[in-house]
Amino acid sequence: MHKDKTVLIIDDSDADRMMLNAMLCGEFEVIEKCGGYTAVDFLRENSDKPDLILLDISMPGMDGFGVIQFMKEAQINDLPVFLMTSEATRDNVEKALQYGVAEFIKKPIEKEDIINKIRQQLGIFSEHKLTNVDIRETYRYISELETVYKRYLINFGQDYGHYTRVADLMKIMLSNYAAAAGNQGLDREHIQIISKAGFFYDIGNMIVPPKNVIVVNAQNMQSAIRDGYKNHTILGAELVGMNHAESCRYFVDICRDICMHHHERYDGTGFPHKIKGERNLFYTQLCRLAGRFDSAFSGYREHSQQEMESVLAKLGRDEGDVSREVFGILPECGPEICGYYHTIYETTG
Amino acid sequence: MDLFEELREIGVDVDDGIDRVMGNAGLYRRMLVKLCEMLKNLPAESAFDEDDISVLIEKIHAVKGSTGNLSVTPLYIAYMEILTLLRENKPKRAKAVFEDILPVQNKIIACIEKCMQ
Repeated sequence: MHKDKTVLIIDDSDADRMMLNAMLCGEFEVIEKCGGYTAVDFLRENSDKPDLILLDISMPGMDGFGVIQFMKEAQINDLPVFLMTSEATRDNVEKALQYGVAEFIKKPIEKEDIINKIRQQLGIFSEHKLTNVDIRETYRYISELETVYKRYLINFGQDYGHYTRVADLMKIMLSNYAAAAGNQGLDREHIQIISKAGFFYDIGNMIVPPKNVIVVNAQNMQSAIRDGYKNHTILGAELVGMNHAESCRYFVDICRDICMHHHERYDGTGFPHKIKGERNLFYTQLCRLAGRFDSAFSGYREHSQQEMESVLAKLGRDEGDVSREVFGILPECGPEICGYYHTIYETTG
Repeated sequence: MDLFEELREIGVDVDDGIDRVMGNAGLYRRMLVKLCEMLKNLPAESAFDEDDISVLIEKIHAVKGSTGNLSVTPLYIAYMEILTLLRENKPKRAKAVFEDILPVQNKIIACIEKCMQ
């Protein structure tokens, strides 16, 4: 139950609003508006903004894009919007991406899907205690997924060492963070599962057809989408998200977000959704930082504290990449991280 | 036979519809009443012969959405096809599909209205 979170539903269909309200009211506070103009008036007049908007595209008068345009002009930039439509045409998807919409929801809406996506967007992961069955089934899923992914990487002549190191770095950083912050609900199993999710951040590359493999970045993404290229971030999230087992929910939620948003930046200039600030989830930022750190540090010979400080200084100059809180975890783990790299490079030679 | 049983016989996936509203059968019933009003307010077949079908497309789009949400499957499938045909500028074929589904639609409306009495 997250009654401190408010969802605003904007839809001209009474039936659709009733249905969404029924789906969400058990978990969130829900406000309804029946059209673009009434929604805009509400947003204009209320300083207390909702936490998330579910917005129908097709409405008479001011449509969904009109509402988003208003929000842009009123500089209401940090409010996640889920666009809803029964037709996900290419034009709509492209327009949605241009406006930086957080999610595209196809009608008829599935309640599990919408609730999971809202939870994920608001950083509410499964809060149920991990049972023994959850842990067993999750590790089984991770093991199977890992086997497939490693085989793919080997077949394409890629080394999965980087991804292994990212997962291990996340474990070190999370363990230190949990210890310093008095646990924060992160016990050993949670840390292990979250870290393992980091291994798969690029798994979407498995599904990009070889002829379509291009380097997509924030600058060329719009034209890439027009050309039918589905970013490896979105594909990775879809792949991981195919597992609907309740027992694996915790891992899937986190891994899905990591896949989808590991190219986002704290300053909102990343991709695919240009999400900004605290809408970038903590674990996803951690994975991004771990990936960038390993890419910079693993190439050094000594992996000394001095070399680590040089890498930290370089990464630290990019202030818009991750939050200060997330970045601050790395230096705290300096000796342990250096020791880790000594061990693995001694082992592998 | 009660409303839900009658609707099941016509092909409405009542159980899926109730599940979508978190098991709230009363709410599902109320939403069916709203759907009934929407269906009765649809333009007549002659609207398919008009030059400007933009309003018709808007109304069909709305009905399609609601029938999908309520798992009124036979109507949802038909209205999906009608909408596609209208968007492809094939109003004659869309009208034919509409006329085909009318008997089932009228049955559904009659069921719901009976329960409202």
